[in-house]
Amino acid sequence: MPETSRPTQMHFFADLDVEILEQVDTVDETAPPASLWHDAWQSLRVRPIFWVSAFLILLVVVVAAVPRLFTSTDPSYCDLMSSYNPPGPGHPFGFDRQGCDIYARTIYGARASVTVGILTTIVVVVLGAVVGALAGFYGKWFDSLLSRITDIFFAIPLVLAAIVVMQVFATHRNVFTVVVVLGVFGWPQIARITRGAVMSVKNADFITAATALGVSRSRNLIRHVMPNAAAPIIVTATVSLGIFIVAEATLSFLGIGLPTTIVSWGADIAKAQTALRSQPSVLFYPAGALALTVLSFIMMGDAVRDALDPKARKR
Amino acid sequence: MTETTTTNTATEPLLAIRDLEVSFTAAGGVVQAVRGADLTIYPGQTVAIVGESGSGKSTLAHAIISLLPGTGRVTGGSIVFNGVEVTRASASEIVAMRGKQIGLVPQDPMSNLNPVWKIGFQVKEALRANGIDASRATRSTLTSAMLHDELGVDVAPDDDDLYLGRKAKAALLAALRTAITAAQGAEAADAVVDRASSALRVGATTRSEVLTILTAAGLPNAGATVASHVKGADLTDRVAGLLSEAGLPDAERRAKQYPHEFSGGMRQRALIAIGLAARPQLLIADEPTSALDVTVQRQILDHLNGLTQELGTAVLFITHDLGLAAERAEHLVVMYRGKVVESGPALEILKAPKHPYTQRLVASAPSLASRRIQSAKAAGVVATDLLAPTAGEGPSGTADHVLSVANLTKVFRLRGARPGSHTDFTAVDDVSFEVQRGTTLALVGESGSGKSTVANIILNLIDPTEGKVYFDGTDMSTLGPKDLFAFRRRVQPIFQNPYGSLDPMYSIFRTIEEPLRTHRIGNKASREKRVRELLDMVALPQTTMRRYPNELSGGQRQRIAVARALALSPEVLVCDEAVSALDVLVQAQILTLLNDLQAELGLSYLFITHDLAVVRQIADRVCVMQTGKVVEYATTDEVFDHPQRDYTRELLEAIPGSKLDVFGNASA
Repeated sequence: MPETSRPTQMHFFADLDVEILEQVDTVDETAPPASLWHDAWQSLRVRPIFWVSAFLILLVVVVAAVPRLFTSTDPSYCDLMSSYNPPGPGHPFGFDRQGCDIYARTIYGARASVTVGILTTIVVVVLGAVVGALAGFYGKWFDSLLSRITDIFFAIPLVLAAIVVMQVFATHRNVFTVVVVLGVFGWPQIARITRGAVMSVKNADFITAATALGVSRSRNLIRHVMPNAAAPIIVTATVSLGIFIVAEATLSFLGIGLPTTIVSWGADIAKAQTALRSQPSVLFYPAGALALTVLSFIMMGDAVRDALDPKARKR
Repeated sequence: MTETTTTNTATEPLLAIRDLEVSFTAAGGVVQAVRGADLTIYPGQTVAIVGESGSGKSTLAHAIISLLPGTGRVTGGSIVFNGVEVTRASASEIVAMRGKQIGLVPQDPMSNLNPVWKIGFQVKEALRANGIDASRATRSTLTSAMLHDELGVDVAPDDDDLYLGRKAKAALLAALRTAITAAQGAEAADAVVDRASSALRVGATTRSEVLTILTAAGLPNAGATVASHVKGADLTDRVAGLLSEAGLPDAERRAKQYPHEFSGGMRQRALIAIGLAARPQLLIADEPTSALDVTVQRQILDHLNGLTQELGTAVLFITHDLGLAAERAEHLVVMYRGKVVESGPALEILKAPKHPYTQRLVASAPSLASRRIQSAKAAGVVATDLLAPTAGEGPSGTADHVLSVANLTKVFRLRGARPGSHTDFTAVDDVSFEVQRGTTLALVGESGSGKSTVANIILNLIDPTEGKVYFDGTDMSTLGPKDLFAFRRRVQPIFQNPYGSLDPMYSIFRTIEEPLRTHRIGNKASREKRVRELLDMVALPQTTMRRYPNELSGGQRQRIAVARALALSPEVLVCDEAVSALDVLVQAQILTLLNDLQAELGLSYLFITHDLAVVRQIADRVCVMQTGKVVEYATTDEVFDHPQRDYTRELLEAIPGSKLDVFGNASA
């Protein structure tokens, strides 16, 4: 290409009006400080899915805490005379086979589910986060050992293991035995998530910087690594809360979860199956309540994940 | 797109962008990324867009081929390419345009090749996508020729479209060997055939070139032999040809390899081959070499330059480096915050920048600066804001070595293919140097030179395999855990990536306070006072301390990192590529800050960098490293003015813009 054949282009420069230069490195001193949690909250509060799930979760928690606010009927009072009676005044959902009030049982069933869900999640997060953090942070043979243990527990299906172990507690089953059994077999997932999060954070420059300052390893783990690894743990915990509620219902359905003296959705679903074709409404209410509760926790987990996703946040 | 519309005269622009506006819809509303930009490229011309990150330079380039990400769209203005209005073109028109008329060489060679396909397949894909299926074209011509019963048909009369095939090459070389052996004997034939073999590149050499080469080699009746053999290359041959054109040696074998078997430079060459595969009229090169070492960058750009000139391809070159742009393009377009602030002939802009932003850019560009920051004022160069007043005292001459390393060696054990097997990799090999108190030693080298490993050994983050680090005359390896903790106070690091070196969960106050708290210095009130002092020192408002890192820009974060490093009043700062990730203006500010602090506090710096241009601005002595060894160790002026080793000279020449005589002409 000969240079001469091309027309030369003019030397152009813009007007000096561009708002420049001084802005290169200034701090906006008026804006409120924004931490990660603040940012997350900003993005959460504009999402309808967050408010819907938050409302549902709050409702379920209130129902679980003070069921008396919602019904004055005793869920354990059953009258065979009213077996499979249709809804009537004071009994909006009708009666089940034993003649118990379905509405009252659905309301009272929330307590068992929510208690098991929340307690199991706490057990699982503590157990899983500790194992995962230690494995991820210290690495080497320690990681290999803990990871293999995690894998062994991971390989055992949660419900299957719970069925087997719950047989041991056949005589004294209560909320706490269910929580312990679900917790012991439910932690590997959190452990894996934590391990991955910790491993990705521990090589960050700010950890090296802290080490060079003289911050000890364990302090680094607690002060720097764990707060930065918290987001995925919280997300997974919220979702698995729903899963543990389902697991409790499954065990109660199979008759090895909570004892019959405790009202629970799982047990009620089990009882309803005998009349599934003739009286579907008996199944519908406890199953619907269960589904709604689990759904709201999973929706909350989804919303929180989106809010905490670093890719969605502005940098 | 018909053939008639794509032909154009030299006076008509190939690409004309007028008043282009591009906006993105973000959570906070509409963000204008490009505001009223104008740009003109004539056929065969090289135009460079220069700007810092966020200036809209990549957005502008991507708008040309409708590759705007996510919510981005053109909201105004026009883009005319070859007489076609791109902003109103249909999707199929744009698809037809991409690759065939406008090629793209993307920024990151590491992520822009699909790791599961072989390189050859990916180049082949570029050919197929643009309908350049060589074997099919040849076949159909042959078929129609057979239908018309024309024997000895010339498959494609235009010799420039016929490339040498793999089999044809073998046949021609055999013919050549027979002919030469008969005439001059076997030994002469070997030499001649070897030479011809390296000159003939499968898929790249055209029939007329083959003829020239073979006639020169002495093949009798070359015309007829060549015509009978060279009938066009198939796709595989063409792929090899494109790769060898892009400068990949041994292209036929390389085409069968996967991206992970390629180095960064080789991948970038493959991407260039893909970008040029369909012979576009315009090639958009988006920071094609910013991820590569300077020497590799130079080779690749030299090659790209030659290749596009040979093919007559116009190039739109996008870069953040003014020196590089001026060296590679005839015409510069300077962008700032989505606006074109200045455009014109490259040298004219460098010599007489008109817009204040461009003036600042030219003044700050490290590759164009010729002296150390503090000495610039003394030399009488026009003062700009980066020439801060300093004590200006050079090395005092007394041998007060605050830090010295002796025969440092670090061997990493790499796991082998079989369990239990391993190979040793020597990252640092017998390195010795001293840092004099109150001065800066620059440790320079390309990636893999072991410079960061040296830094980590000095920071006591890893142990050396052999050798000693002396700090203030004390052998570091003899220190117990308690002394080591105290040592941490005296040597502090500053890292490359300001986005990664601050804990996002910590407020700025906690970040800067952490070293004080860790070393149990002072109480709450005195620590807060110290944090305020430190923020003043790095020229940030004290109110910054309630903010979080994600609210600050890269330069501000780096200032915070400096403040944190200074919290314990250290004697030595180890700056590991501390300014490499920053835009030039910000980089100049941080360098000035470091320089001021050195004069004020008598700090000593170990400055680790790959960028020799920055070295000249900040360092007193330079230690050049290559593959773990020190190749040159002298004062900065000596290294720059009288480099002793070839490697150093190569590095110096590779500094973009080093050959531009901007200031020389200006002062003359």
